[in-house]
Amino acid sequence: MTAANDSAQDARTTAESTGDGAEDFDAFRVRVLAEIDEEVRRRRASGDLTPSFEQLLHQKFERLSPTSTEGGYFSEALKLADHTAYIDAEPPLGSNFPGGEMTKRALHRLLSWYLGYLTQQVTQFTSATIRTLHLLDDRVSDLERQARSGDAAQAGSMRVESMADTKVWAELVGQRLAGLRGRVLHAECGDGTLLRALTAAHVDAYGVDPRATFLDAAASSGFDVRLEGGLEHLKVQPESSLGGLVLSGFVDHLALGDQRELVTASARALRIGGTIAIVGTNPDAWTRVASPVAIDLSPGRPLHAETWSTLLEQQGISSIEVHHQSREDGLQPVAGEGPPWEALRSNLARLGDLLFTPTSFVVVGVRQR
Amino acid sequence: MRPVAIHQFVPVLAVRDAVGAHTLQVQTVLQEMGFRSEIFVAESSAELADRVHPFRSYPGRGDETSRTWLLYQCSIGNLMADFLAERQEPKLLNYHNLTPAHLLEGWDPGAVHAVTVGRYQLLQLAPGIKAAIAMSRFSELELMDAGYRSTAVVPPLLDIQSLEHEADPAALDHLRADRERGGADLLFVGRISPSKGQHDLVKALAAYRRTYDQRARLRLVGGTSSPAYREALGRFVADLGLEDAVDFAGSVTPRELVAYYVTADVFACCSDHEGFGIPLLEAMHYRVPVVAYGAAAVPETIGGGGLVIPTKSPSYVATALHRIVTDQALRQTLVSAGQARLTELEPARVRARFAGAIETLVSAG
Repeated sequence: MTAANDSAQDARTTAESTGDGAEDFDAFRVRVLAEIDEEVRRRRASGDLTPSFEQLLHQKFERLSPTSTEGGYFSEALKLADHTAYIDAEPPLGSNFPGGEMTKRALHRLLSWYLGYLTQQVTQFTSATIRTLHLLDDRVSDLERQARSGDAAQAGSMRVESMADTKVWAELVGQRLAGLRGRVLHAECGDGTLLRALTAAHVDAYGVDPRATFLDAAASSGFDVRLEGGLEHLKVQPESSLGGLVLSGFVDHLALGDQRELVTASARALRIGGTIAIVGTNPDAWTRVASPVAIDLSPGRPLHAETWSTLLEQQGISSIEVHHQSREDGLQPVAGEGPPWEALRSNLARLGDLLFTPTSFVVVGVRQR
Repeated sequence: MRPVAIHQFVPVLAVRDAVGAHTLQVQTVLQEMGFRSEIFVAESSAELADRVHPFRSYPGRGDETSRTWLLYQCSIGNLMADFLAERQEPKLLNYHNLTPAHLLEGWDPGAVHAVTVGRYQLLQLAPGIKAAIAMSRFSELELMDAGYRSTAVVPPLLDIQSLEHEADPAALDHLRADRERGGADLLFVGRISPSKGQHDLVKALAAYRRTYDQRARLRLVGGTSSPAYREALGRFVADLGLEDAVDFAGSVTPRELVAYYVTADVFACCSDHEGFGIPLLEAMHYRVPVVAYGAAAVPETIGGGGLVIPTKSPSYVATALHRIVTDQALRQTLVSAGQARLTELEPARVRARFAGAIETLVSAG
């Protein structure tokens, strides 16, 4: 058999643990899978097998797939359909067999009136179908332009950049998720900052994020991370499969429909007794900082903590706590007695609320049913 | 009333085909149980022409409706199902499973149509079927969802011991010459079809070569059922610069197949759908360690006889392949586990199970 690599890692064998025959195959299999998992993390950490390399592989094949929905491949698929719309009624007549070509020519002459009649109709049908697809493409493109969300570059430039720094919430989230049964997911985990805190709190955590460059950094730290969008990942998780869940970053720029779907998918994936934490940007802080153009044209916008709480409650999440980031800066207090000073202090407080709104919050809840 | 005949209806009967092999074995079992048993087909390969009858020629003489039962081998949509739905005889269904249409969409419109019709027919047939036998628990759950009330699970009747032992010398020489140049040989046997996930194997090969073994090869054995997918696979392989590393062997003879098995380091499967997965068992028979993504009925087919992995992530598959290729003790454990699994599926046992299931059904009337 092949000895592909003789590094120390490769020299490892299962002999030492299977030699006594005491370990049953299921336990053995679980252990081998865990070791493979560990090796994948190690390879990712070393930069041998990065998430961005996997993404490249997926993209290269996706580009060839007729069902691809990514990028501008619809136009390529349409081109392919254009090229195949015409049905050729003139088959090749050559043959390797003696007399084959003559037979084919005779058959062709006999049947050409019939096949020609049929193929003409099929070609008319395919042409009409392709024409319909082109019209549909035009209409969908118009709609996308109107919605300002179909064009990736446009949507990207107007996208809300989350202002919620997960580092601020690492301790609180770690406390709430410590000791839970089952795995904890952080979507979207970025470079793995919160995963580090969760792992330090002995939480069995893994992360997903669609941004390969961030994920490379997380993988290089040895975390279990997967190249996938948060919503996409949650939608395919089995019911009650997660012990805990942290959502951050992407929650701020999803469209409202997706934000609702995210809460539904999260509640479904969470086991009874599991904890969910949503780290979000305070919309008031966002409108204070974002440009008016971005505010007006953004395809999605941050939700208030109260809104997340309501959506979670609708999905059976209770024991909800809301924590706002504490205000460390603000206007200097003024001292003085009398009505003018009272009015000044009141005005300064209102000004402080406007200028120094807390930038982020965390909403924590537990699935009870 | 106990039937005197149980005739089988199978859309296509071919020699080198899992459904065909199963149908022929079932005929033997039924005849050994004392039933008259003929096979009725829509199509068959030339070698089997004298063993079958066109389904439209049914019923023949001596086929009384009350004493004859019909057994439908269901694997694809076919006019035969509509024909059977009209028949008054007690009917049984042997379910091989239908590939979910979404796995074929965009690639293979003809197959999408056939499996969609097949699912519709499966639902339509349910009220008129006395009992159904599924190849796997996975398939049985689909039958229950489709409204089948009486179901059982019996694996396909595959005489694994009768598989060819002699490898084709020319194929063996060719494959061994490649091996002498170094590099692991990864093997998958199955139709080239998007549902079989050959593109995921190519991704895994790319990751494997990048990290572990630059000379590794992937051998894909099996005819093409989706030309569009085959073309895309070819372009994908070229895009990745793997033309010399991926062998599209196509359809091979039984002896050539032996050569592929005996020269493989590992049998790798990234299929998204298998109603059972006979090549997994063939690999075990030829003592090739098996690693497979745990989709559909794959885990229960492997049943402890190989390594079932939870993801098709190229990094993960590549790492699992490397581990199996290089860890001799693990290889030996998997080969032994494969042999044990084959013992569980030993033909006499499965035939007895099938006969038992039929006996229970006919006794219940």
